[in-house]
Amino acid sequence: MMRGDGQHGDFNDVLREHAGLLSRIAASYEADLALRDDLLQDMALALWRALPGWRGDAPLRAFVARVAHNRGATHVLGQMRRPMGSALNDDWVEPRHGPEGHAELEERRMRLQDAVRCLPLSLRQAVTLALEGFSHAEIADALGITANSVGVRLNRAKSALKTALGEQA
Amino acid sequence: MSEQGNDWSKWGELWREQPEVDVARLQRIASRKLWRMRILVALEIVGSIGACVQCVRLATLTSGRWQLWSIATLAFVLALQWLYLHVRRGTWRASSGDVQSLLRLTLQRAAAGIRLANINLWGTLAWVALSVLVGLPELEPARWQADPKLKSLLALQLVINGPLIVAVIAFCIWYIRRQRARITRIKDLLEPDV
Repeated sequence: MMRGDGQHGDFNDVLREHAGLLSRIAASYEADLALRDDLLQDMALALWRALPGWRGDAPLRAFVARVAHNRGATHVLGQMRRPMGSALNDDWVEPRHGPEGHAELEERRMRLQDAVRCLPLSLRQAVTLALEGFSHAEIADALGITANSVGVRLNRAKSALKTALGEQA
Repeated sequence: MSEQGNDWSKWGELWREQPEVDVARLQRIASRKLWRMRILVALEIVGSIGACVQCVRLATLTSGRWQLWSIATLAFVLALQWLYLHVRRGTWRASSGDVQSLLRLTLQRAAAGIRLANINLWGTLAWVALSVLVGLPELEPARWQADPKLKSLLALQLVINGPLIVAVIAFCIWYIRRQRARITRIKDLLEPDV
């Protein structure tokens, strides 16, 4: 919890710097835009409360990702009546599109996001961190598993993603 | 290895291409949510303190069976408050530990939650039985028909406590089912990779 203006300022800086990371992790957990927005807000709130506990023993980015994934996992457990993921939908597009020239890139990005969301939770968490550029050791640390398990998960996820994206496995 | 690395870096670049996030709005909403949570918990605590004070007051003003009932009700209110705090505990603490640890902790909490909800469920039923037993003389038709004050008091108890008891029982049953489903789900997530 924030106890003073200094900490408040720190939180705002951290949030500004990591808003993209939080938003992408939220997108890997929730397809519905309204629920995703709620989840993103909850992640920000969780970060606010967790930040005073950061002692600098892990990189801040890894700490933020860990808090966000924990909130995401809680979100998944709280949404048990809804399906974990649905099949890729060719017609599905987010209402945000860039200019005409970026439409194809946007569509590819959305397909990747959709494919990641269709992965089982354990693979999805490893994948989102790998896509953010985290090393195997950092992913293992964030998820509480061994580096070998990270390798296994990423290999499985890669095959699943290639199939989902229609790329050659 | 490099082909594998290429796939991940290609997807990573695509992944990190995201629309801008309105950080100021996010900050405002997070702050608002935090205050709402604080106010909600404060109201709950005030409500519980009020109920406890009433029970203690009744216990000091009465004797015999009604004193026993006041003490039992006080214990019941405290147990109920314990359940609500337990339910809310996960929303207060933001975990920064690893995901596996969080899942294991959630599993323990869910199991403890079921035990607590069972205590509350049977506690509620026992409390209702005790209340009826203690109030048996007052529940005699001849007595409350002759006493308009007692009649309105009993009617008031029925109108207020009746739906409240049904709600508590329904909540406990729903909560136990939800936690059981959650335990199954968490155990699936904790399955080893190989």
